[in-house]
Amino acid sequence: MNAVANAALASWALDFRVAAPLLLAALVYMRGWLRVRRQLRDPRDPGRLACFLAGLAVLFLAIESPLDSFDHFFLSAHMTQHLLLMMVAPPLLLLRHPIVPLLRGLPKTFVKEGLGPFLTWPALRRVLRALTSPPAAFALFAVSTIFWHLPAFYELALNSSALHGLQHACFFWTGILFWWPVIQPGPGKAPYPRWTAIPLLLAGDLVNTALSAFFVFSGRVLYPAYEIVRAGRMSAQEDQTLAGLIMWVPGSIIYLIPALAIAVRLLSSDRLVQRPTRVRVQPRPIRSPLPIVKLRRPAQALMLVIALAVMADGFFGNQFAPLNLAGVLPWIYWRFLSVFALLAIGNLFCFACPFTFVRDIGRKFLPARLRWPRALRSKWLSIALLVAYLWAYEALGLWDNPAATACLIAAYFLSALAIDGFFRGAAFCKYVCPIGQFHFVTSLVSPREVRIKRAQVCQSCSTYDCIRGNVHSRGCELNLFQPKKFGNLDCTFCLDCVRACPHSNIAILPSPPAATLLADPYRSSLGRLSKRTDVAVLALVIIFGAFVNASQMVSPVISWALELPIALAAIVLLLCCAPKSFSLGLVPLGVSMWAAHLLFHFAGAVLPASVFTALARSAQILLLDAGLLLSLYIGWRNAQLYSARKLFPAWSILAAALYTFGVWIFFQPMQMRGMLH
Amino acid sequence: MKLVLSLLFAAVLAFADGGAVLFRQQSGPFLVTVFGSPQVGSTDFSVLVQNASDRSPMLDAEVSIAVAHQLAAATHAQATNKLLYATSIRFFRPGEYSLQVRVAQMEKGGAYIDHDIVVSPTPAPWLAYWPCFALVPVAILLFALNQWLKSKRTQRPPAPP
Repeated sequence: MNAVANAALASWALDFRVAAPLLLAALVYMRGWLRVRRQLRDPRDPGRLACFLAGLAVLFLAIESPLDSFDHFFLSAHMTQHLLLMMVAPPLLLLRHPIVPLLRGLPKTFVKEGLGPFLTWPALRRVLRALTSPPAAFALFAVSTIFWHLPAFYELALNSSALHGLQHACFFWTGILFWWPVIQPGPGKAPYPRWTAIPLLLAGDLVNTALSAFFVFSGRVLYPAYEIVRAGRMSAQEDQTLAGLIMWVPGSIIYLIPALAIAVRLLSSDRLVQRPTRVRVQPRPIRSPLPIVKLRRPAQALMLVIALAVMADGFFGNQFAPLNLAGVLPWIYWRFLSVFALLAIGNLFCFACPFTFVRDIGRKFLPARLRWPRALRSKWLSIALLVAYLWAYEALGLWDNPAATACLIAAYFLSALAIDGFFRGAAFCKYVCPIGQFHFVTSLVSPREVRIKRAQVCQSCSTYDCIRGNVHSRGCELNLFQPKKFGNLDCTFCLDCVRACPHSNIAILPSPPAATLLADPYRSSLGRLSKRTDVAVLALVIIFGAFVNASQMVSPVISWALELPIALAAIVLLLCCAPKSFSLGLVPLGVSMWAAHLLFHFAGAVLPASVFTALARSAQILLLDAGLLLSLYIGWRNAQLYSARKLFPAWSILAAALYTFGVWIFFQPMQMRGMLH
Repeated sequence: MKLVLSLLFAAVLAFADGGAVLFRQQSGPFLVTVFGSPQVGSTDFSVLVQNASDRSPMLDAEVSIAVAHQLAAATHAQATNKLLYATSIRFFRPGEYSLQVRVAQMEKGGAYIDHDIVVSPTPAPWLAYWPCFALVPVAILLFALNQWLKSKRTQRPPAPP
């Protein structure tokens, strides 16, 4: 293969904004397909999955492959791209009834509460029925095809990425509308007789043939852009003829074969469709404890080795932070990875905590018999430590001081050993550790939690091993009684309860992010959050800390002196004027700010500069968007829960102000701490 | 109109190959086409180098772009379309600039092209991210519609038996 062909084949765009939605669609479909497959033992199932995935693959090929990179150079490449978008991807996506697997692949609550009202909205159904009626679908398809191939509009699209994207979107979506009445993928009875697909396909072929013939026989170059930019020996006229032939021959085959197949089917006597048999789904048997349980000790040991290496390098290595493990690993990599693990799975850092690993070893020699003082059984001590940590991070420049970082880690090991060596339970985790508190609050928006599978099993349990422990494992050291545990607060993901449960009734299960903030039930070992001022203050410190910490990266623009009084005033105002749970409603926004800020440092360290510049800010804003929307939703629900609707406007203004402040910070030139840039 | 156009143009990724044809010029044995949409801030330039006699693309040339007191090597690695040579130049002020393209190839020798380009002012940086910002009001509107539909459904009288 020559060099030009090699270069052409290597010209893939790979834009995450295209790849991510396609991948998401594939995952949702596969999830739904697996569920439907369990229910209907349908032998056609693999074909169903293959069709949909092939449709997505064709879409990816059309938008991201060298076809896209060369559409400015060759009309033939561009027409192949259009053919894939209009005539190949839509029918593949619509074949074999994709709607049911797509809906089953989405979270049940989202489909029921979020999509349900739209799917059953008569006005919307009428509009969709009108759009997918054969005359309307054909008209839209034909108008879109002809309009975008008029030289003036075609050239306009060629010179603007945005219009080019719009052109492709029009082709794809009118393609979906056109193929809808042909394939009739919707659940329920088709609104039009089957034969209507035949004239529709013939009409589509007519438009395609007319356009192709115009390309082939026009005798002049229709799009002058291809005369200016040519990257080969083929003339623009020859290229246009080739484009016309590509549209004409494969295009016609795509229209005529289905028309013929439908006609044959309608004329044949064997039209009985064998319905798949519905199989009654048996409830899933309770499985043995998760394999992840066995991973805890190895994960802790690994983190211990890393922590020791960081301490050694911090004490004895090069004190230039970007060249020291203590300057890079904790502040750039670990902070980002632990927050993203929280957002993607759950509290994985506490699961692999090296400090409790050392503590567990120490306990073999230390008594651990004392009870933690009653006066300290709250979050106030850890709040003070968290504030001190946030202050020290900036004031002592921890991020720029490997020796101080190593000292901090050593102090952590000693504190864990000293406190839990003498006091019973996990007093260090529950009442002292500021990192743990940060993770507890952040894990309120995690998509998974450790909880019971079936309430009936716990009702019949008389041993309460999950909290008391047994010979196999100790019970929950943080006093979380599983049947009354609600949400991730105070859960270290240690999985002791999973190991201890004799009925294998406890597991890491999916849970909608922040769903536990939508109600205020009695929570084991915590009580009602609406009565816990310390928990509310802890959450507010973490929320406002996110913004204050990020703004220090742009410290020449804004200073502590201005920010702190405003943050303190807002915290006091929230605590005095609103129920305590309202403060927790801002947790998603605070977590998204932490994630967006830490993403900036992490992406800056690992991504090439061009990719970083293009993607980092979009990803940061999208994270803040998600945080704001979730916070607004929780606030709205809390306003109803506490009959405090008048509070909601003021509260949402505060959330919007925090969002605006966060966005403003991201548009300032930010320090690239701990990196060689 | 200007604002709408700038909004439409701004959401494009910064990878090369973007932009319209800025100019096309023959110099010695090379036919050089430069693509780009120069504006204040970081701008991607892509260069297509062709053999002037048969228009076949030349992939083994060394290409550099000099403009606004900056010199940058354009490479295939920075381009999505590997037939092009791409690089990024940062402009600090709008106005007219002289853009020089130097092309060198082992067998054919070198060429130098000088062309004036106009750098347009950039829209406010946050305008470039309008799709990200639009997500919030769109989601709120959809939520409001969702709630309205739900309330309508609960108010609907039950169907007669």
